[in-house]
Amino acid sequence: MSTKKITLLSSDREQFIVDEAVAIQSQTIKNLIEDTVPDEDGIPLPVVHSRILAKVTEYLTKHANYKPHNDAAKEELKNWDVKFLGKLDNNTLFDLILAANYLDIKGLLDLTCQAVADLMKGMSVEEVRKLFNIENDFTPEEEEAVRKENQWAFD
Amino acid sequence: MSTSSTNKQKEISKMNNSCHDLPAELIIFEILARLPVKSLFRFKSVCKDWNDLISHNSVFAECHSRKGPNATNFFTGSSFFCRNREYVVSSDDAYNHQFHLPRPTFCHRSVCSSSSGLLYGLNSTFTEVFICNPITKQVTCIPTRKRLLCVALAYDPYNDPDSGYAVVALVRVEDDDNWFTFEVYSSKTCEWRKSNAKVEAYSYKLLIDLHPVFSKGKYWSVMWNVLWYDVEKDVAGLVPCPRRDFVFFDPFKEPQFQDIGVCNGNGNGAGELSYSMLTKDGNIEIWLLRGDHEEMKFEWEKKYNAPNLKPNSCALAQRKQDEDSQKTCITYVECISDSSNKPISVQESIKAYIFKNASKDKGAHGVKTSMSLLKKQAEVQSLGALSWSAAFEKATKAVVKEYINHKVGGGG
Repeated sequence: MSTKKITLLSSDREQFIVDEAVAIQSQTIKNLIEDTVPDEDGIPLPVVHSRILAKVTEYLTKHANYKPHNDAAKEELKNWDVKFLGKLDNNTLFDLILAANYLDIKGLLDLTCQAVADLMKGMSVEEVRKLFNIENDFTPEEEEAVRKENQWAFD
Repeated sequence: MSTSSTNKQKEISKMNNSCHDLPAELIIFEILARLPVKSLFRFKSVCKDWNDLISHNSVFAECHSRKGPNATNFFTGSSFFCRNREYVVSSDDAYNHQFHLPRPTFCHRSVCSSSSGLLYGLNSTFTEVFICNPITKQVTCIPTRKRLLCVALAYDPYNDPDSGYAVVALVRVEDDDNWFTFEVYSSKTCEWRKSNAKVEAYSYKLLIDLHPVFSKGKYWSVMWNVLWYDVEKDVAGLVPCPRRDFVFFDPFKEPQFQDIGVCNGNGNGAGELSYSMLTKDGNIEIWLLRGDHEEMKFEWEKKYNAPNLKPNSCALAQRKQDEDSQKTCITYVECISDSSNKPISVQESIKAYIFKNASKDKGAHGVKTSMSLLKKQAEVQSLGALSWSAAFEKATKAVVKEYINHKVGGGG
């Protein structure tokens, strides 16, 4: 495994030094390494705050050591993912989704989006509106009609 | 997608439980696409955009079919006649492995099978075909011109979501016991028509309810021979079964351990007809019908052999073919009696429990069609994949179990 180090630079100019193998799990970072002349301070990631980049590198470091053909490792990693998610509040979770999307880290995007979907499963319509900050643009009559039409989903 | 103003956003982000806006694209294709169908339908009431998206957007539906949870797998099986209860058994814990069909519409009806998530069957006098969406519990009924048996729903939203569906029934040619033809109902014309295809099939003489299936544009039924009918081309034919030494019970009394299903999953057998049988030495064998569906030339490929799953394991169908791990699942159901909480043996349980297939992929694809079809009152659609019903008087609980065979392929 390559031990070449990569320096990532968060939006608030904090440096994160990681192995190349860790960093290139992000397709965006991989492309940046290949296509750009590195900044003296590191690879700038202007939309990712250090608070979130710390989480991202934590995830990437763990997953870089993952051996895909070993069931026990798979299980251990799954448990680690659960613990990793457990520590996040909703705001951080949403920030992580944005970061995973920007950095193009499929595993992290899947994990975080699934976490939100799981969260939503048990939510009421009102709670979902609040979660995503969505305004109810139905008239009471319209809302009642839609609800009636899909009554089975509320049982 | 979101209609919030910046002020409102700030206001809400101060609150503990809320978050700033994610781009609509991420919410839709990464988050909503992972929700179970029931939650999704509930969230149609969130706002107008979501209602439109979930109801009509085919791009979203397709995305949901790839990412959606494996929450709506239904299993189907044969039942001759349901006297007391009807169940559809689901592999999803949320349904507690049981799904009660809507009443009273379904009293004294027999579920035959399922096609791309829809259940269908005949009423007790065989004069009406019903189609039910187990998810939405919508039901549509189609009256027949005469008593029908061996009915299958020809429905494949996977290929063409706008094609509607057809109901195909095997009927005897008048005044000739050995020749058979088909009656076909089209959801587009809302009429029954007679097929011009004929097939000589001595073994079908009794014309009992055989629980045919539909796959690859064809109606399939099994009784010594596998009989097929191409709905679009209006041609029919026979394929001999791979083996003839299956344990044959009197179909009027006992389970018949020979059945056909549609192989699901993403493996290379997906969509092919599978033939399952219980051999005299107690093994379950599953074969796939390979061949050229255009030229109508077929041959059997032995898929796998499962050791005896114990007589009370009411069998079987290939459910899943995982390409990566070369793993194959046989899903079967064990019936449990109320009083003893012990599995009921085949002798005690009354009817046949042989399972037909469909897949989560197909099922999820149903969303796509449900979006457009649900608008039309007459049509029903679902996301499930398999349905199952049984008429057991003693069994009160059915448990879905999986037998996983790691070695796919031939073998003795």
